[in-house]
Amino acid sequence: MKKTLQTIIHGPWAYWIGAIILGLLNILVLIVRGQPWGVTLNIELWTEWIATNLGILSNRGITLTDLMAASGTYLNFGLLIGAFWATLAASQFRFRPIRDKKFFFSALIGGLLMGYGARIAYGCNVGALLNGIASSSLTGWIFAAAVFAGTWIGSKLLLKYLM
Amino acid sequence: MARFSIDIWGEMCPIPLIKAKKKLSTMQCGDILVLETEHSCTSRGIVVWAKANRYSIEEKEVANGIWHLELTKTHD
Repeated sequence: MKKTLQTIIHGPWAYWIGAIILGLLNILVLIVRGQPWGVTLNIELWTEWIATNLGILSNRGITLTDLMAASGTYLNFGLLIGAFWATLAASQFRFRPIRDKKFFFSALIGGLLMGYGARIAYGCNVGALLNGIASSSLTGWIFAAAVFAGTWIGSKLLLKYLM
Repeated sequence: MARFSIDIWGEMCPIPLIKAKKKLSTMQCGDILVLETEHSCTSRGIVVWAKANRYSIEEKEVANGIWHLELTKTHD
């Protein structure tokens, strides 16, 4: 019993348990929110709001009130806070310095490409891939094919430049 | 029964696993490979891989968020 509790708090959880819990929570999001879980649309709105305030983009009328009323804001902050809390609860929190400059730049370029790709595809691998396929949308399948192709190229680049 | 170690500190999956596989292929049966990482998923990934490949592996969290792994090459 004590060992079970220890595993729940400290991990590691079996992959299939995590998958089932995520699946159930995703269904809950769909029921409560009336639309499936997505990550990047809200990030785009926040970015646009910040860029508008910095004078980089022309104003499309996104206000802070809108952002604070958007369910995506709470899903995204909840994701960050939840992950942080889980790390603290498992007492695995640690500042992890970047080992090499090349990892910094590869992460930065990767992040930019992922963000750009997610927005021209109208969703990330949560909103467009998983929930797309779950709702029988063709977008999800096309996204899946593109993800496989991208991952293949990414693996080749990783072996060549990051090993 | 030699002991080897490779430096995977601060590296993200799947780089540590690829490095470990490469090192393992140069080792003799019964040799031990010592790894230390500060990424939970790296540690987890190597343990799952070792078990799937029937290598004996010991995982210990030596400090908060630091894992020490000892992988024995039990077969070729």
